[in-house]
Amino acid sequence: MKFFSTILLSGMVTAAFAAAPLLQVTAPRELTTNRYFKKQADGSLLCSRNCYAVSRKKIPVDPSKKYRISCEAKGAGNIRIGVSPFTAEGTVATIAGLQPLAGTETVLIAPAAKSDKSFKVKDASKWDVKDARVVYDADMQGRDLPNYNFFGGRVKSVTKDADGYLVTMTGAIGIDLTPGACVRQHREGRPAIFGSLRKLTGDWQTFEFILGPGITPDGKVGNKIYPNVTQISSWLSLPAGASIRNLQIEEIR
Amino acid sequence: MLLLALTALPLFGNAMPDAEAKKLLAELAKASAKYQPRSGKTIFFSRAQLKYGLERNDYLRRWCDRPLMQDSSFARSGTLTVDNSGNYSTKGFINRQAYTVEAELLKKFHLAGFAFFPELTGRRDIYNHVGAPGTADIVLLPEYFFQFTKLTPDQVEKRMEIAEQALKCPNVYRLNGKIVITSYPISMDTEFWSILKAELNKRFGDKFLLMPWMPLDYGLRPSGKNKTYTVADINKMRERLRSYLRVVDGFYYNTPPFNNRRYHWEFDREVAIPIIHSVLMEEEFKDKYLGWGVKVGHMNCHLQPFAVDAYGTNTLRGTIEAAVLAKADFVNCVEWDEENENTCFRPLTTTGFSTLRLIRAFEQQANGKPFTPLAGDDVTIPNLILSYSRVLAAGQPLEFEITNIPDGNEKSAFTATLELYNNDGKLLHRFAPVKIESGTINAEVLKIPSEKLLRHRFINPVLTVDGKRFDAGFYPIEIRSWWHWDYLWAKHVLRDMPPAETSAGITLGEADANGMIPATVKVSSPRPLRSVEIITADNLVTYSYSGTTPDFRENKEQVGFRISLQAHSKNDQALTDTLKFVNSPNIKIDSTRNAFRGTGTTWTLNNFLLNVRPQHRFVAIPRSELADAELHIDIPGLAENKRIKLADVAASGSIGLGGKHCANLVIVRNNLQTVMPEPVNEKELEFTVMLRPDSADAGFFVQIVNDKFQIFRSKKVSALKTSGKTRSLNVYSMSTNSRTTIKVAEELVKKVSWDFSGKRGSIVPCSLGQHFDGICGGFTPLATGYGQSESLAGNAVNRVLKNTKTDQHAPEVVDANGIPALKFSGAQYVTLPLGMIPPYAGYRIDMEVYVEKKGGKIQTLLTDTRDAFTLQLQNLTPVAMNYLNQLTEIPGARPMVQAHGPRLNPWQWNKISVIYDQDTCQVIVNGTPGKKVKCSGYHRYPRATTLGASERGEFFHGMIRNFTITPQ
Repeated sequence: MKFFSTILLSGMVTAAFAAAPLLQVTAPRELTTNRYFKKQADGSLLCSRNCYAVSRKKIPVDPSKKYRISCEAKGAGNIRIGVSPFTAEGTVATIAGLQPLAGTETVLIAPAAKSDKSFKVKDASKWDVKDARVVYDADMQGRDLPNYNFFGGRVKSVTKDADGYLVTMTGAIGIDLTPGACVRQHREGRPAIFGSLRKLTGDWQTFEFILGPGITPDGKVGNKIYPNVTQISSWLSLPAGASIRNLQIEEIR
Repeated sequence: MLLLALTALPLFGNAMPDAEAKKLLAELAKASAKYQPRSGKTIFFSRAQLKYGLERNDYLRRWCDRPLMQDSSFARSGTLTVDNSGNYSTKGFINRQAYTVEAELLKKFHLAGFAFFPELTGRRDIYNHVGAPGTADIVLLPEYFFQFTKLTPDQVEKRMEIAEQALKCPNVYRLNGKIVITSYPISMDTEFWSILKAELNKRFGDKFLLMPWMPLDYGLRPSGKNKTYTVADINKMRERLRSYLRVVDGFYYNTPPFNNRRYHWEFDREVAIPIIHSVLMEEEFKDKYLGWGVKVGHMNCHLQPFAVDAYGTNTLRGTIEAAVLAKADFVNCVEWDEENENTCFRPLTTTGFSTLRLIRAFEQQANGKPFTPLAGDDVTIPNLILSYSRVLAAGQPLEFEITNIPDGNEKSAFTATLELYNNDGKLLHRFAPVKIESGTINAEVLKIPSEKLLRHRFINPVLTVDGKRFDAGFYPIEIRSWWHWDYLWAKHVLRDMPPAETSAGITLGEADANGMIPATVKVSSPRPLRSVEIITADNLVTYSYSGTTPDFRENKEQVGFRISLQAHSKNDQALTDTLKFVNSPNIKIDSTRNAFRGTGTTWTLNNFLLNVRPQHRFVAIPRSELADAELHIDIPGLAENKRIKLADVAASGSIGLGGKHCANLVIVRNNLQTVMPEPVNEKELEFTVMLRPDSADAGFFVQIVNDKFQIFRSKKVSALKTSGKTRSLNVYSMSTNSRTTIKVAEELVKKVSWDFSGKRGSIVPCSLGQHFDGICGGFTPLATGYGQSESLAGNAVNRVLKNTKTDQHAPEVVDANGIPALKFSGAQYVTLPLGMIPPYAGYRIDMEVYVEKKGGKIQTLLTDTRDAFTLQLQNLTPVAMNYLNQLTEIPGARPMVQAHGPRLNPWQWNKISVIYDQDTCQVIVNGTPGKKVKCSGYHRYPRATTLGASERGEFFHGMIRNFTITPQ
């Protein structure tokens, strides 16, 4: 991600003001994929295969605060670091459900049947064909987030006509809806919020990811703590043979 | 008590044998002719709860009927418990005088005695009193409780104590010298009974006949329409019966079959009796006995609409005749005095002596005695019973049953002609004359579609038998347009009608400034009267004449208030502290025996644990003191530091204060009679009282009972003034099995709405009046003032609440853009009276619904149980489900007709309309119609109506506003 270096730098600065860690991973059993990790004599964890490493422990988060997720790692291949976001009910708030495109909320102006591949909305002027997912049961005030009610297919085209906008999808939408139903465009998503791919070397390096307000002012990148996300776990993508240590989450004051 | 038993009854249709099984049963039936009762005779008992004594004066408003022979003065006679001074105590359980009267009644009508449950509190007092000098010489039939858990030594010991007491009592029923013990509820647990049987033999020798209630076809009954019993099924039933008889001393058959709520005559006669007789005649079982349970109906409208329809005397005649055909050693009439379920065999105000007169005739028939008239009968009057439903909704058939009770009359038959008149004396219908055999117990049924009579509202029957005209005093019939939950049959024994000179009338005047209506009552009787009552909807007594008993009703001089408490049985919060009336020096306070006691103007709750039984107390405040009078309530956890101005309650009608676990304290303006006064002993009376109708269309009539318990009713009148304008109403005619469109006075089919503003606290007022008020997270008996039962009254969700994680069940009142709405979350609901969705008529339901994405996949918006109507959200798609009873009789038909609407949009208000015109049903959401589905019929089991939850839970999460129901 293009912001990563900025984040890293800012993180290095702000880290000096970090409080005691809210979460620390010191043993394989503290990871959901514990069977792929073995603790080494120096206390680091050795990864036996390509895998995700998600901490079992979840920590509560306050959307008004910032958090630093960091670890040291070495090995060959690439690493990503980030968080898994969870709702209050403990379900993973997958990123597509959390990725509304600001200002794309609109309402249907004609009934839509589940077999339809197109539908008419009042205003799709801000819709982006590249960011192609659509959710229904949306709320103008965002209280529906995370929203996993995706239409089938992706947005293929958006055409303005006399009444409003005709949105054509690549597949059937899969739900019967009536006029007035609120829909919104979302970005494609992943099961975690993370930074860009970084290379590992044979030496220990520190990797980090900052989560919180002010990080992504354009709202397009997933570092914001979205509504309905009440807790997070640390998240890593690791290659086989990588070693990690000092995996932790801190609040940045 | 019968309720649990009903779960074992085949209420949903009864299968009959296939051709091969019929052949087998015909062979088995041949043995029936040779079967004889082991004891040589058939003895009749009636199971008594013994807690609903005739001395009680609190029968009003709780149940849908009450004992005819109730007498408040009996309370002074003390109980069967003798205190240390050797006098009858007032603290015992069974009232002495009530017992004496009822024991005499048993003997008079050829019942041998009471079956009873010695395990229940205080019941064993009766062992010490039965057969005492000065009382009728009855006998007792003890019944054990079956339990679904393994017997512990203590539990065995308790039952042995009961047996020992029975042995010491000479007036316990003995069959061939051995004491009979039956049981309740039904069980198939032979191990349980073998333990008790072995212990009885070990302790006392072979002195007991253990005859528990056991099922014949339970689990073997073929399910589905047109399913039949096979030869294998019949043989399984026979083998099951053998397995019982190898353990216990006889078979107690107490499971009469019902089909669509009415007794299924064929099953007992063609299946059960041949099987039972064939096994009992096998050599191995030649010493085993047979007992038979019989029913009169199960019709407490406040509990459930009517689980078993009395159908005139049909259920009674059918089940007793089966017992007689089965040549049972004893018959148990279940039950004598069960008020909660209204299964009573004793005389009630609605049934008189009809039940007992029939039992007497059956006893004569069973034991080969000649039929004889009852001592004191006027034998010039035909011994007939006229029965009919006292209230119907348009669409139901108005059925009249004329039943003959043979009494040795020389005539071979009676010719009876029934006519129906309106209140103006206009002849509305004359049925073709019917001939009724006089020598047997038999009945004729006459029917007319009630919808044809709706515009007259009140109908008065006149019966002419062989030229003798019976034209006054019968229960007035009310035909309603749509709402209905009273399924009781009024039964009139012609010989028990009062003398011809008896009269009673009621005239209503114009409403006064307080909205009260003066009613002038005039009665005249050649015999002294025990009671003079004004009756309104659901058999509620709004006024009972008394020269002495304090009156807590509203009238010109005073305003009466009812203060009531009730909670869910999960409630574990003991209430403490006080309710205090202030600023009314001349307040009158009732002294009713009650769980929340208190003296003077302050009532103190002393760790009082609320439960599902509503607790009522009454006060009356002079109108001159009303402006300043207040009720101060300090009950932590329910209502802390509340100051209620009683003038406000008098103006609005009621206020409710809700708490945890459905606890509610309500204060309601009261115009109903509070206690039953002692006998009046007047012959002529004329008086005027003030009435406040609970609903605009409420009817009133006068009911008088003379010293011979003969009942006379006036015509029914209503204060409702109609404009002459009419509207169409679509009803399902059960007579033609089709939709019928009728014209109805528009005042009788008004739109019904409920006020969600919370102005009256937890009470949800209804536009039709207090009779239809609802309550947030509570039980309707508190809001409406009537109804009581063991568990179900006024709350369909009662059973599921105990499994919820919250103790808050009242929805929150919120302002939704200037419109009051109810916000439901967790496990919250509003309960409304029974069957508020018209069970027989078309309707339109409108509501606005706001949902978020929370909540289950199935959420209930509105229901009066799944066996009637449910509107639920299935993944936000509204589905209206009408359970149409007549379809249960059609092979291949699906009784649950579902209409789906377009999906709701979350995060916004959605307007939902369900339109059901008795031809199609359609759900419309935000103006977008769902698919119309063919739908016509009547609902099966309407019960307490609920917003926001169903009897399965399925709680709604969201908001509801602008909720209305319009019959159409």
